Amino acid sequence: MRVFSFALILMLLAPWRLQAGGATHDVNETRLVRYKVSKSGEGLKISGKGQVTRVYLSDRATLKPDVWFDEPYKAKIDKIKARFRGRKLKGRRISAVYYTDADVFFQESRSWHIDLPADVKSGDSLWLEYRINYGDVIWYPRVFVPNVDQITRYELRYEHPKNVRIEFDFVFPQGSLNYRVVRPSEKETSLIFDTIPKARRQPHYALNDWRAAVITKFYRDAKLVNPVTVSGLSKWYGNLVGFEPRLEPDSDSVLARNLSLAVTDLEKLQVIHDHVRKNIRYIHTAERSHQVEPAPPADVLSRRYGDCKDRAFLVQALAGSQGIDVDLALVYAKPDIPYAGTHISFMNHAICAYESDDNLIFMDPTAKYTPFGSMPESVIGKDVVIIDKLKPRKVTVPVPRVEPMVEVRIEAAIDSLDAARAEIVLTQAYRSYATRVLEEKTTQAFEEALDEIVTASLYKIGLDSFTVMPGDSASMVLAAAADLSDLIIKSPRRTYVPHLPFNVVDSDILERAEDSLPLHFAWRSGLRLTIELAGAGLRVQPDSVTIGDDAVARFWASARQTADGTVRLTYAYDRHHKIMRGDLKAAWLEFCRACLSEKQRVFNLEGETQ
Amino acid sequence: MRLTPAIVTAALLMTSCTVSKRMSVFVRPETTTDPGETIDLTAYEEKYGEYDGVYLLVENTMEHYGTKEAGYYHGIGASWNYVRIWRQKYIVFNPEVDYLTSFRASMPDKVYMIVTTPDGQVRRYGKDDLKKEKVTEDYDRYTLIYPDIVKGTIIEEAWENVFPGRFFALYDVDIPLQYPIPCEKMTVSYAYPEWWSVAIKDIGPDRPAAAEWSYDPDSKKSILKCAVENVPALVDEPYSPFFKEMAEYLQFHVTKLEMKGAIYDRPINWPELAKDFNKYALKKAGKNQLAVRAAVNQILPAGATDYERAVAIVTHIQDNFDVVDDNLDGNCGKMLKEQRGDASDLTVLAQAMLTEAGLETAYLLVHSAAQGYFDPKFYSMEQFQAPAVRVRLNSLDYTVFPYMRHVPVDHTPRFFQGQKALMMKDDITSLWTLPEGNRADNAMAQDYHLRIAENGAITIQEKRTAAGYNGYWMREAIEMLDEDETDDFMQDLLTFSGGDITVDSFVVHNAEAANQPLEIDLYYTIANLVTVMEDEVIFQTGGLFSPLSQPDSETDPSERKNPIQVDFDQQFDKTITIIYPRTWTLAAELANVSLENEFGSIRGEYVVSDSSLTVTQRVLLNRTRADKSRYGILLELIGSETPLSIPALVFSVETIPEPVSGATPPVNK
Repeated sequence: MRVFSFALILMLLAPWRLQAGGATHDVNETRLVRYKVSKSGEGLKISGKGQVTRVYLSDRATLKPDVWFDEPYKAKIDKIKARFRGRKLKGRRISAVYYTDADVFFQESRSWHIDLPADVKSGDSLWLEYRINYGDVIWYPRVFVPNVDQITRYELRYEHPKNVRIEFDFVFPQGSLNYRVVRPSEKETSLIFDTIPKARRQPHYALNDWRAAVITKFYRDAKLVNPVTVSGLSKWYGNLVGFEPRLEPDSDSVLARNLSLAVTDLEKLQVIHDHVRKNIRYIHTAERSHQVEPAPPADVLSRRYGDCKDRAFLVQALAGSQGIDVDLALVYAKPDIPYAGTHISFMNHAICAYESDDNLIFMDPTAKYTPFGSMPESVIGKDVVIIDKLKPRKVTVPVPRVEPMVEVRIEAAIDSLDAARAEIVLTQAYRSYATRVLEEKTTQAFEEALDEIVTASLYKIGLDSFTVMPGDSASMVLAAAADLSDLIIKSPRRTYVPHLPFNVVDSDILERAEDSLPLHFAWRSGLRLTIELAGAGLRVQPDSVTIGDDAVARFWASARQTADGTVRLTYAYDRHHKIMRGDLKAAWLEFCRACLSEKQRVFNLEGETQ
Repeated sequence: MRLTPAIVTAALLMTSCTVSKRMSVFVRPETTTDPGETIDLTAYEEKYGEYDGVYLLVENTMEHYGTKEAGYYHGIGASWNYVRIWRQKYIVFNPEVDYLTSFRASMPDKVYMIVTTPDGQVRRYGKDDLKKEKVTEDYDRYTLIYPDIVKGTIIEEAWENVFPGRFFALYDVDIPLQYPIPCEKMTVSYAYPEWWSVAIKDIGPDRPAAAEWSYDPDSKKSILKCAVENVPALVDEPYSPFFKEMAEYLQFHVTKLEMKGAIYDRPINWPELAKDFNKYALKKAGKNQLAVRAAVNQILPAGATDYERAVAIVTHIQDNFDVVDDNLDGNCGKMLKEQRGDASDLTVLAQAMLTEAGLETAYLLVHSAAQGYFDPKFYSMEQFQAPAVRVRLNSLDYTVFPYMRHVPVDHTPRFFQGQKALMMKDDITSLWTLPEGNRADNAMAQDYHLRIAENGAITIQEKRTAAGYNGYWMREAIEMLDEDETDDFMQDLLTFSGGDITVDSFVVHNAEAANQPLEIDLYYTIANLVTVMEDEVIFQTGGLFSPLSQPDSETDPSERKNPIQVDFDQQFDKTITIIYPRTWTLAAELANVSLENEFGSIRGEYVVSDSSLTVTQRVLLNRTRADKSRYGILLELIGSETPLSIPALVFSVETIPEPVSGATPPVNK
């Protein structure tokens, strides 16, 4: 549950000890939520009342003292009362903003704002109370304990019937926290965290914002009530939206014609998938009824817009009408939360799964520029729950072998290094990104996107004046002007070319050697660079270097003389993982050290000097 | 027949009321707006395809109508309405852009939408198709997400709202005439009763807004109309003027009105406009003099100079008083007691305290450059954005902003430098121009002291000194950071790219002393930027010599769309001292660099002496406004190909260096 999402505000309120040497903490906060769980038909319902007390302890805490908190999907927060300096806050001091344009699949749909006066002082305190009603316990989300400074006590107290038992699972992304589960009677369960210190925010770590996630399991007569298992989630969501939607493509003549030309199931799936990803605009309507359930496929096809669940459900329905059994699959497209179980709160994206001859194919019709057969990096390697009536299961989206995402080939003359020519081939995530900007943005934005890719990949190599060349559906090919004058160093004695002309490692990553947390990257990475250097009498001794291996990451480079006398320098780099922990992380950090050290090594070329 | 009051009223109205009838008409087309219209989509895409769309037309119609007199029997028969009609028609090139492919507004009184797809299908929508969306607890928005939008779809939308006129009569109307996408034809019209008067703000010296008046005798209307064509899209580029300094806009207000019995005459000169404010600013400050005197005596250091007095008072208010929303009506006693006030109040207090300290002061309302040209004949408070105090110290005028933390007494924020202000002093109101500030006000300096060991390890002491605007933004940035975030901030400040950098320590000086330059000392080492070989050493400088002033993005000069503006005089200094082993000699002589053009100058000087290299760089940028065609000239000073940049230094080695104890020299493979 993310009843209170103070992270954004509190992140800005953290201590400033550099000059001030002030308070140890900026705020002290206590939270208590009293829930009442009661029977509702065969299931359970839950409502409660929350109280928060916050004391501002430092000047910095008072700079942005306002409080924002999100209302979880399907829940209703009301009866908000707030007192500041002992006086009740009224009128516009308490207001709500609705997320009207955002995709709110299982996410919050509005945010409450407590507007404090501008003259908050150190020592002031805020008291806040609210009522919250989830209805069915199915909608009770995971509780996030935020990583803020600092919560002195966080208690969730549940009053429930005798035949109800409440259990908790925990995820601690930054080291375990002390907690107590107390059952003072058969009708009461409490979960208490005492003093939750703030953990240091780590670079290359995606779970900095919270200290714990609590998954609550409600049992009635020893039977699990809320869908926190794979089969439970699949059964519940499938029954809610329908396991086998059907939609004939007749209303769309182009789709119908293309389908009539397709022969095999895979060809038909490709037609459907491509039609949906290319022609359905990604727009979410924020009605509460649409937060969890997709819109009817016929509506989505005719109006040509929808969000991820609308699109995935449409693909499923169109495939069903062709006799192809496609399932919905739910996934958390943000960085993985290391939880072996499942929960609806850990789902924020819908894709499709198709199984044929034990071969599982995934499709993400929301990824407009990712072709059929490929998956966006945000989903690759993630665990998904397949909503299948007969065979519900949790599987991992396969991680294909990393292929070069950027391939650059440069031809240069040693005496005019600033006037070289380059060909660039972008594939996979970079192709999708560049294609989106090219299709949807201005020329200037496209140039900036390419600059961004070049800067992120290449060290001291300037590329500009890009021209898009003919390519295939899997790649974008560009021609560009190249400048090697910063990369290649001429001295009175010889010419040097660095061993490592890639930007693949930041030195700040070495800080992460001290902790046991995993490393997170948004993408895997593959780079290739070839430099063909021409010049009369230019000579190079064949030389090569290799760092790392295919298990983690590998860099290799070589220099050699070709038959026509050109010096050819080739470079390659592959990083195979987005998440690295344990031995993998240690190996990667070792690779990074080696790469940083390699920065100072060069290939020596004779025959051309300053 | 019995004469009822209503009949009597109606009869009287027929004969005696002065009526300005409504002339604007909301037309809902029966078929298409332009029957038989053909649009060459291919040509449009070729011309505008890089944008999300293009407006073919935008019509913004505003009108006041009703009766001049108050009516009878408690207003019966009198009326005053304001109608607004908006009509726009555009081609969508990017169907993924929400604002072009959906309709979102407050519930209109009348509305229609016509969507024409490239294959000629026409779909119509109206009020019944709108869905209610809650935006806040108090505001509902009505939305239609257009279905089936593809590239090349043409959308026409029009809606009308009628409001009670009095709420919309006296505001300054400020209408931008340039959007993120191009617009081929735009019309703004404002119709008002003939007995009203309207004034328009000029958008530049001798540059009136593109507006004309006409008259409609039937409805007794004067009509202000502005029509522009082929307006380019607004783009975000570095070194661009503010929107209102470069874009077309129309700003006007009603100066005289009489409607439904209400009469208003707007002040027609600055003293008259300032009368009420003057009363507030000057008269209120005179009260509570004892409290002001006590406060001044408490904070003023003994024997302080005028300048020190001003600094003490302004800094005291900046650091100790909360800036709040609620106005305390210039009550200095209350402000001093509660240590709070809004911007206007705190400026009143500052003026009162500075005056009490024996300094010559004036209250200012300052125009911001972000609001474009200051029109001296457009008498509106809307032309002023910030209160301030002018204080005279040693025959020099300083402008102080007592409610802005981190702004020193001797610095005027860039938006206000050289701008006009309404000055109120001793019951006299006049216009005054703020000083433009001097280059040193905004100087940014970096001093590097590098020591390279024989094994190639580099030890660096770096000092950054930021004054004026640069000191202000850096203080604002670091004030909110915690210890970890400060570490990250310092790491990001480092110049070197590609280096294996270890920050040993850093110290921030004058973080709270806004009247002193902000100083940051950084101590760090870099392990991997020097390649040591038998006969040569390479130092890959990793951006050390790049000037500080480089823009984040570097547009091709031929693609530049906006005019160029350097807001204020700027100065960037770098001093780099590199000490290297005695056995090393710089392999090539470094030639001094000097370049000057209309935007400023760059200078790089290199001095080699006894195993050290000293580099001094200076980039000066002048406050400049220039045509976009000159962007390439600006890049000669600040672009990535600046002659100041040196990607690598090569040293010749006389003898083979011996390994340093405890360190393994890198071996070149």
